[in-house]
Amino acid sequence: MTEITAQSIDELLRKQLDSLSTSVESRETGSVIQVGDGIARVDGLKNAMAGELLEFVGKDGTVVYGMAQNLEEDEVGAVLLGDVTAIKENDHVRTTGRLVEVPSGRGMLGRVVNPLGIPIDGKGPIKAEGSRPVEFKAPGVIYRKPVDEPMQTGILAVDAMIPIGRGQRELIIGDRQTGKTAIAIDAIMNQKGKDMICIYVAVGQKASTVAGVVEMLENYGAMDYTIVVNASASDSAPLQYIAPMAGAAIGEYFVYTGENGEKAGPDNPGRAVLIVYDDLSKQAVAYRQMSLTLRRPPGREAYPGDIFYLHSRLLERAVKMSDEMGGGSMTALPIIETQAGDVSAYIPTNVISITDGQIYLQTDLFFQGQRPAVDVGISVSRVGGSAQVKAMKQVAGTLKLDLAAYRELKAFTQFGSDLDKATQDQLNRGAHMTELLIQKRYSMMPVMDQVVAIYSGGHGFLDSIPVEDVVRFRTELIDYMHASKPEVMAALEKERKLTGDIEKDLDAAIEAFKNQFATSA
Amino acid sequence: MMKKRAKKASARIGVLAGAAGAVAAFPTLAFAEQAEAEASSGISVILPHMVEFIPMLVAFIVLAIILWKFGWPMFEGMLVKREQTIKNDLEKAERDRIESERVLSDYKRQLDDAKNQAAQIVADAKQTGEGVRADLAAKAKVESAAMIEKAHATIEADKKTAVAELQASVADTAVAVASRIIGQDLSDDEHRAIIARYVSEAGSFNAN
Amino acid sequence: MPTKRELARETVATYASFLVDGANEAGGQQCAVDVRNQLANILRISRSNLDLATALTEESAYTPEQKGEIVRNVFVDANPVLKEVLAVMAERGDYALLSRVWASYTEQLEKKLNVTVVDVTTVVPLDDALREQIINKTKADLGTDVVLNEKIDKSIIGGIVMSANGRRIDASVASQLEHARNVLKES
Repeated sequence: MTEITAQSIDELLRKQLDSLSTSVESRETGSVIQVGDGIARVDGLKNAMAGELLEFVGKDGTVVYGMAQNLEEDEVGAVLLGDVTAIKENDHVRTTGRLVEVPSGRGMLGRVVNPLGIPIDGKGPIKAEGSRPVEFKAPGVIYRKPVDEPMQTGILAVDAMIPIGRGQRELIIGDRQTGKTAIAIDAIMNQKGKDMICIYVAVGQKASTVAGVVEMLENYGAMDYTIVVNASASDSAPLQYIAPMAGAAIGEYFVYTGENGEKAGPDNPGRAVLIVYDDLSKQAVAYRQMSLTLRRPPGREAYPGDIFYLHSRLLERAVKMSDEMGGGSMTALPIIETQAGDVSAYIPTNVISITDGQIYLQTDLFFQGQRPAVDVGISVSRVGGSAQVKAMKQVAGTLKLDLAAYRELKAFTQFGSDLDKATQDQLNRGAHMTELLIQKRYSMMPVMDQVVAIYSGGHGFLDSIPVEDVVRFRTELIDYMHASKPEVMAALEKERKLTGDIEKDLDAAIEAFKNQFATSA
Repeated sequence: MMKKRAKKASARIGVLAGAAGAVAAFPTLAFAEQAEAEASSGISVILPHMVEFIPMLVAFIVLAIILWKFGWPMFEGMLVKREQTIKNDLEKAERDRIESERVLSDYKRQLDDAKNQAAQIVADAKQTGEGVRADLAAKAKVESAAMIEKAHATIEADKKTAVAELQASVADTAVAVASRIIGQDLSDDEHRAIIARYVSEAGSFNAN
Repeated sequence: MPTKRELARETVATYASFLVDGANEAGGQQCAVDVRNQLANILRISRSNLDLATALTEESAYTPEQKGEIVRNVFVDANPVLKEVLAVMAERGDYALLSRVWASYTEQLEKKLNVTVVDVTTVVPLDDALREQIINKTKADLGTDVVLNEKIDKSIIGGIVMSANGRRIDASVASQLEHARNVLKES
């Protein structure tokens, strides 16, 4: 317990006073030639490094940090990472000999910080365990291993058909207002009790939106294992530009160090991290602004030439470490906002090609009431399948086929001819399966519940239920299974796959439930 | 059994027809008797006249043949059918009885099942209810504990913030006071002494 | 074929060496140092005065003659050699190279006259003993003759700030206190 007494403060001050050194070293110093748009051109600083942290000293002694970006023959182009207005021409600029770093550690959990790791939630200073460079070269091939653990989002459509593994990079892409953030937030909430550290990086969003997200996470108890890095729309472009990298650096601390603060190794496991970049299109816009004001030549859509490299090096930092390196993982869920569903724009194509798959969200589906509005036809996950639970793999196979056949037939039946029985059955099944995937926000399902739900659909138990009752059927079935047939669920949980016995029990249980299920019509 | 009875019936009819044939075979004897009866007046009353007797006989024979040929099979078919019907009815009754017994036992069993099930459901519901109540209680407990803990954490954080702010403001004040004292109260010579000390302590221009 | 950058470098070097030689001929080392200090001031003014800076850029609406006139009138108290060179730069549209000329000038000063100018900022005027102490120290560090460019600035509260060749020793009381404040604020 902290005591607020004059004595305690006196003690603190004395302790700090002891550590005060008065030695004066010479520092390389330049002066600001020009400042504006969050960019400063600095004279001198011949020994500055690319990405080095610079100290700008304002007139009244306030220090604003900056990052060296353009190293030219006789000047340095730097971006300002703080109060832009405090710096004027002719102000001194010092090099620090350090690259831009952010603090990290367990102390940051539950906190909202800016991209420099400074808390902005008014909950007092953060005690950091260590720090990591914002720009960090991703580990090479031999330090990694293939994705082999699932990262469940709790969303039926995603976990069944677009499975994500720990260490994967899965893009969430869609127009505005299609529920991109909702999927990411649900995924974070679903990590409760799964020993996963989550980082939510908000880039260029309204501060009120971020506050809403934080409140939601808090209410759900998800802030206990979540760090929010926020560079809101009012922050300078450079801050928005480094925010995702800062988030990655904060996450890397957990991946590369074990619980005891030492480097992760075979007997000091690294932690699992889930990081959400919401969203990278805004970061790209911020980077474009920064690059143009730094007078770098513009390319396609006026983005600088290295915009692809910006995103690829960021997403390459998502990793599943080998067991020798502690086996930590960083799963990345970047979000890209498209304009009018155009995925062939510059940034969407770039990020699609970098990531290990994408979850497409469609406006039409959203307004048809299919929420989450995941278009399962074009969404893919290139590596997650190998990390999927066996039972889910078994049931998801038929689900995929059913839905694919349904989509194909649906296109044909638009012409409205008479249908034979088989076709009608197929359509009926598809309609029920599609309905089965509807899920409200904040109602994540454990993976075995998902298995039961999809099993009931795949084995035709839903076919005779009216479509509008499917969601209720699913919910009540899960409740029934847990309340009345816990032994079946326990067996499923234990085996993690569908054996003959379990299938028989499941069939019986679902049949029994169906008999007592009252349809609404 | 049916066939035997039919055979017996046909045999009986055969005997009758044989008798009729025998009467027809000895008409002269009959007429003689008739004449004798007429003569003797008593018996002749009941004896047919020969003139009537012949056509009657012929007609009888014709009728007998026709009946034999067409009537008999119809009659026999009717008999067989009736026999069949009765037999079927008996069998059906037997079957129905068995069926009804089975149904009854079914119903009884279902009733038992239902009773058991009802009891089970009630028991289940009770159990579930208790489970839910315990769950809710536990959850509420955990929640309240978490809330309290959160509140504690918030208070702690607030305190820390307060201390940090206080510390900062003390530091600010101290520094402000120090700068004022140094700036205003130091004489030029004291300043020069500070400069001399700083110059001698300062690092080199060449150091990195 | 030399690139644009190399051409610019040559131009800068020419201006700078002309300045060094001109000042040296006119008044020896002292004059050269004066020119250097004036040049530093002019550079500061050019950076912070937006009107002047825009008036002298290549894109401005003024004719080269007008630009030269502006320079001659604005920097009327400057060393005549410096004033003329600046005017020529303005007329030729090379005024944007000023900061590079300044850098090249200090370099050539050091090379040709074996002199480094150390800017010294204090709150009280230096006395001779202090001057000698500072010169001895910086001489040892820099390996050239040292000329002090003294400046009084009350805002540093006390102590001394020395800078030369883009490096700076900030032994001012103000920065010490600022440092102390930051350390004290940490918990």
